[in-house]
Amino acid sequence: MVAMTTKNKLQSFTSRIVPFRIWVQSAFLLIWLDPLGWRFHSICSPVFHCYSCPLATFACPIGVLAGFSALHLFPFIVIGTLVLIGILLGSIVCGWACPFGFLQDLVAKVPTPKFDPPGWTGNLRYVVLIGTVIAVPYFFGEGHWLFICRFCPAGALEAAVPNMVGRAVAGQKIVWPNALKLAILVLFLISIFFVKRPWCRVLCPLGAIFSLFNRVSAFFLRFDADKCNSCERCHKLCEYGIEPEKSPNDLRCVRCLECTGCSTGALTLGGIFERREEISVSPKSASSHTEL
Amino acid sequence: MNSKSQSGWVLNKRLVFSVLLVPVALAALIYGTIFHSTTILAKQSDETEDQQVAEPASMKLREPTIIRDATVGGLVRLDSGAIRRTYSGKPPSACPT
Repeated sequence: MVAMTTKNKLQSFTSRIVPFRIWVQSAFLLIWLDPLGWRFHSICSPVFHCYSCPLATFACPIGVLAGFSALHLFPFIVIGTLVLIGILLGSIVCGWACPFGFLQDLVAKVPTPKFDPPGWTGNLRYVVLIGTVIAVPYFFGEGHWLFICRFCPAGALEAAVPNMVGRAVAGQKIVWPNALKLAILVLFLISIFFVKRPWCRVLCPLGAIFSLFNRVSAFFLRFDADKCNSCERCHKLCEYGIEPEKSPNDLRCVRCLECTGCSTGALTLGGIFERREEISVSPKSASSHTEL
Repeated sequence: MNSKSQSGWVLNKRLVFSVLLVPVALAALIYGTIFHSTTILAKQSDETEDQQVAEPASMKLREPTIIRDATVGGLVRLDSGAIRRTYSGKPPSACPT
């Protein structure tokens, strides 16, 4: 195999764009916030953004999944959208396009002490997905208090609060959300100051779906053990408590790609579309690639 | 199996999953968008009898329309298993939750 020290096109693109992630997230925000008033609510977006928000271009896939489960219908469009995005990008959507993740990223810039939730709490996302998005709606319908939309903080923040303000401004009677929704919203608003992306890491059912594709998606994180000098800088670059050199495509990873800022180039974005000769490996390191 | 072939297997695994799942996802999207429809009962009107006659008892809705209705709480599943629209005329502006 030919030894190459230069970056391939994908790696060059990644290293150029990662410093501008916040701008990419802002650009996506313009797509999700419906600036032109299209309200394409027959189409699902691949991000966590409540469709009851006065500013929502598309339907929330989790709300639609839960709604279809309550109706005992199979949601072909949602499943098709999520599988297509998931198999191509994995959870890159979470790190680069999700408006709810973006909000948490922005608040995380406030200099407050930050805490990492234990790693096992990431599994709660699957409990939320199976329990409140699929099982509870299917068996108890959408009237149950554990139906995801009844306590979703995105719904509370993006839909309930704006609607309350709108009604108050219009002089109409204010409709308060239920107590559970309000309590979770308050907890969420406090926690985002002390935990980076608490919703994404602990409870997000959409992140749970995309994370399942991290180990098989077309784009993935590649670790080259021979370039790694064990400086553990990637541990500091990763804001989610993952050790990227041990598990570059961890289920908890939101693929913000910050860890690719490693100066040795041991962590890079890879893709199945790269030609073999494009993959930057030395003869020695060819035997020490980790993608799992 | 040495590490080199293991690395190749991981890459091939991703390729295989992509080749298998992308067509499945596209097929689900196309089927859902164009072909999939469900029979929905119209809202039981408590208005005059004339209006009840004017409104069909049931209709076939395509999946994109069902998605839009689901986003505003516009559909409900009855104990009989049938699905009924919760509104007639203009849909609600937001979901009931």
